[in-house]
Amino acid sequence: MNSYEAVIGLEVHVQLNTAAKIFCSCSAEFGAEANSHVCPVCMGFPGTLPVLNGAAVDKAVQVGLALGCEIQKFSIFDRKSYFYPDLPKAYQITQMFYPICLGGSLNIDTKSGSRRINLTRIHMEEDAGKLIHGEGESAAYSYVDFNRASVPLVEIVSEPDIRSAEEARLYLQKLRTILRYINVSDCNMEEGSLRCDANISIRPVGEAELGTKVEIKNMNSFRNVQHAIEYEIARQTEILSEGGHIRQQTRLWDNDRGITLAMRSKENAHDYRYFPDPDLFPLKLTDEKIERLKKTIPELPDSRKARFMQEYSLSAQDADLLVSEKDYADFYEDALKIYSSPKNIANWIMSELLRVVNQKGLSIFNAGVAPADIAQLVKLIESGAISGKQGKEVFAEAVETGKTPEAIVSEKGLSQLSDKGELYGIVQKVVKANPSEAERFKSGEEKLLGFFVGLVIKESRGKANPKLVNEILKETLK
Amino acid sequence: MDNILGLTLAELSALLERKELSSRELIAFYIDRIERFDGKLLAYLYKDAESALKRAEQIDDRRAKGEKLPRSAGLPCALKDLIVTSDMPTTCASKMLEGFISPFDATAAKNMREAGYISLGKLNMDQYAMGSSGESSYFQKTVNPWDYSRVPGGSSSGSASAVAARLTPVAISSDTGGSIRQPAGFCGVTGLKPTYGRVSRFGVVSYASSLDQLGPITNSVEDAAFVMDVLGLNDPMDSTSAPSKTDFYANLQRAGDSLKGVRLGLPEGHLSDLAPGLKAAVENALKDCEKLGAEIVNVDFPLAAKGLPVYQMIANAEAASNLAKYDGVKYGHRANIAELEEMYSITRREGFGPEVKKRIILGTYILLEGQYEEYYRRAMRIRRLIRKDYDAAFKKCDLIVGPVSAGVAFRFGDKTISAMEMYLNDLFTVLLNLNGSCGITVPCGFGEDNLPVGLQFQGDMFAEDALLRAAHIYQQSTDWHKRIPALLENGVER
Repeated sequence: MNSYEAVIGLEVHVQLNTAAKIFCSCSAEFGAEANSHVCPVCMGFPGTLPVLNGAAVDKAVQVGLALGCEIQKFSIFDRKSYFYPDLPKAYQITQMFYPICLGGSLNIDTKSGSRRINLTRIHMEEDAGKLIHGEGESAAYSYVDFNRASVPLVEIVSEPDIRSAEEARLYLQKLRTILRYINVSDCNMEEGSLRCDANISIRPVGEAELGTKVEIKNMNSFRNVQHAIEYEIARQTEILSEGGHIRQQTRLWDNDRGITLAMRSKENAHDYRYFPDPDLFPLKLTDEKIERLKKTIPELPDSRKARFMQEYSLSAQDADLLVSEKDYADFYEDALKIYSSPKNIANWIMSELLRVVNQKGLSIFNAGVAPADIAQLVKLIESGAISGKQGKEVFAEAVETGKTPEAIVSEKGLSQLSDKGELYGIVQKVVKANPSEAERFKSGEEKLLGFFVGLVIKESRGKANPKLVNEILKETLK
Repeated sequence: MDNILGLTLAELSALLERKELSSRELIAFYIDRIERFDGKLLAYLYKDAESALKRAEQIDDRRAKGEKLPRSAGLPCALKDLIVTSDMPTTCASKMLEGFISPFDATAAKNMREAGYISLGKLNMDQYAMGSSGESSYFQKTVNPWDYSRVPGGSSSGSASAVAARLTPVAISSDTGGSIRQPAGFCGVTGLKPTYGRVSRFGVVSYASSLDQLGPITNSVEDAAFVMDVLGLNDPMDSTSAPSKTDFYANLQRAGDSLKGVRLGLPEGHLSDLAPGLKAAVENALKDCEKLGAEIVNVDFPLAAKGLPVYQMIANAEAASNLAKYDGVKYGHRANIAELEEMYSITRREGFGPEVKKRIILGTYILLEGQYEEYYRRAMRIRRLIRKDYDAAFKKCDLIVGPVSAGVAFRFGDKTISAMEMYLNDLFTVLLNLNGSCGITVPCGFGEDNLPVGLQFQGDMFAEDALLRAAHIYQQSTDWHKRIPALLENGVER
């Protein structure tokens, strides 16, 4: 049997998080009451005209800059025509012929190493409204929510460089990380602020020519994307293995049944009748503007990861986790500025703080402890003022109350007894009170050390620094 | 009161300011004329006498209290029925938008109201501004006040007819391929198409977005300039809107009375194939211009013959796209059918008239994959070349001059006029829309069957001041614009 390789390209729609919609001043916020963020313009009323939101242009350029695209100083908005109730003007304003960005790429880390996935283009467009199909008594009706109509989008189109479902998922995750870094979108697939269509074909390994491609839609989570592509590769492989041929078509992912279903074939494809929108002049960008936007792009995850590994001697895995969200990495470096203990601070963030962040669904900067608190906590532990175990209690208390670790330690009297003179006194007292055990220890019964340590700590009401107690006991009982 | 008809807007404004005339009297005067004559003329699609009188009284009250009012406060106007208004229906003379009331006001309507103009109503037109005779209106056929068996021209049929019959001193209209200038010529009134971008298109129901432009139809160039000071404001709601200009009227006051030094370009061939009576009137007007000091020079538009097909490609393509939104989902007519695709299709079949359907079908075809390159892209390329011809012409002359139509107003349903001949009536007007610059029609005499003839001046981009000046100087040397047609009231001429 032949073995096949998959050839996959992704088209990703990302909602830009501007305050207003792309062609009117309505709020672009997600989750409002249906049809509360609408006006005659985004409802396509007679006589209305689009006016381009400059903030959306800035964000689209930032996306292009972060992904290494060539920003086009001249781009044009076109009309894409089709009838559907969620499309108020019966055309979508998009960029067909002259998109705002060309080229670009991003790197994914696969098991077999880093792979570069090239981009074809990025263009700007407006979102459509949302159809909500009635249930129960109103099952015969469909409703339209125009809140989403005209929310700004960029469509990021990859080259067919992706070779597996796993790579597709990694590509999307990397894209999401980068876009969140530059704060252009929250990239939430469940809420639809990131949506992905996949073009998939397969060909015998070694074959240069592309097979017939199938487009998959309706995948609304990263996991669905992976599952749908896995399914589709298997489906196509089976057809070709049995001597069949692939039909060029669009298929929908049915998540409940875990399969893709044919939606429309090429013969029924739309003719979208693209032409330049006469209501909008071509979009021109100056070098100055592009330069200004370049300065807003922060250090991106790939280079930040490399720097963390080099500067802070973190493992690739730890660095990956810390740079996976810009907030995590910022929090980490804010803490390091206050107390430079890269390994321990990284561990505290990854093991304790992120657990709380994930549990509570909060952002890392709102989880109850500031970077300074983590720095202080690690410093208290490293200086021996409190034990690691006490540190965890202090952390929990800090998350709960918002108090600083130092305040908690002093309030609870937690700080360790590390005064050698005082400890010496306690040790003397304990040894004197247990002369026979002292003799047995001296004659070689070393396991009794634990017995004495326990008594000393008890005598100090738990405050004695165990490490120092050990040292003093060994010296005393020599 | 009857001498009101002979007064300019500025003169009426002065009477109002001096309280020698109240706005209520002025508005009541026009409402009376509408009531007496519009039954036969059919220029208005919607009238609201009560609201107009109420607004007039409010303005009179404010004036009585000594409030400082804009100079146009209390003057009447009317709007072509594609300018959306929240206080009156906007139908585009179509069944599709029958009874439609916009949730907002067009910028032009808002600017007029804020300047104190009082709207008498909405004026008939060719359906969706598609036509040259007014006959494609779904509701009624406006007649030409000079001969009720003749069309007033189109698409601004109601506007030109109403202004000629003095049922309003000013109508705000639109010109996509001649829709202001041609009916102004047919009805013997003054019609200005400003430069594309000069007047906001926000709230103007789109026909062909890259060609549509609002402008006034009035009884004189002076009145056109007076109104333009209100219409010429920049509008952030229209991306193609030009910077504000509000000194049209002030500049016209310094016009003088000589055309000395003005070079008028006469396009090659524009005087051939004209109706003889119309031709004579135009030639006399050109002689008048020369007597006023103008120099007539020849200019050439080698691509003129391509103008009409290029215009049709672009206008129909844009129209097909602009009119796609009328799908019955959100507003306007909806066929009572449950299935979606069928609802769309029957809604549009019922809502649009035959001329509109024809243009949508043509425009849709032109934009199909495969046809787009062949037709639309090529049309856009020729459009750019036509603009170069204009640039070249304006190096040889200051303004272009010539007829605005090949013949005088024709009879309703004249079967001797083919569809192609109807389109040929656009020939003298569409090139200017493709160029985007400004033009004006002024009455210049009477031709066949004693019907009015218009003279067209065309200016360069944003050169309204020069255009208005020349047209004004010519007009002041004539009295064509002061002729008022005899109107029928209960079968009796008045």
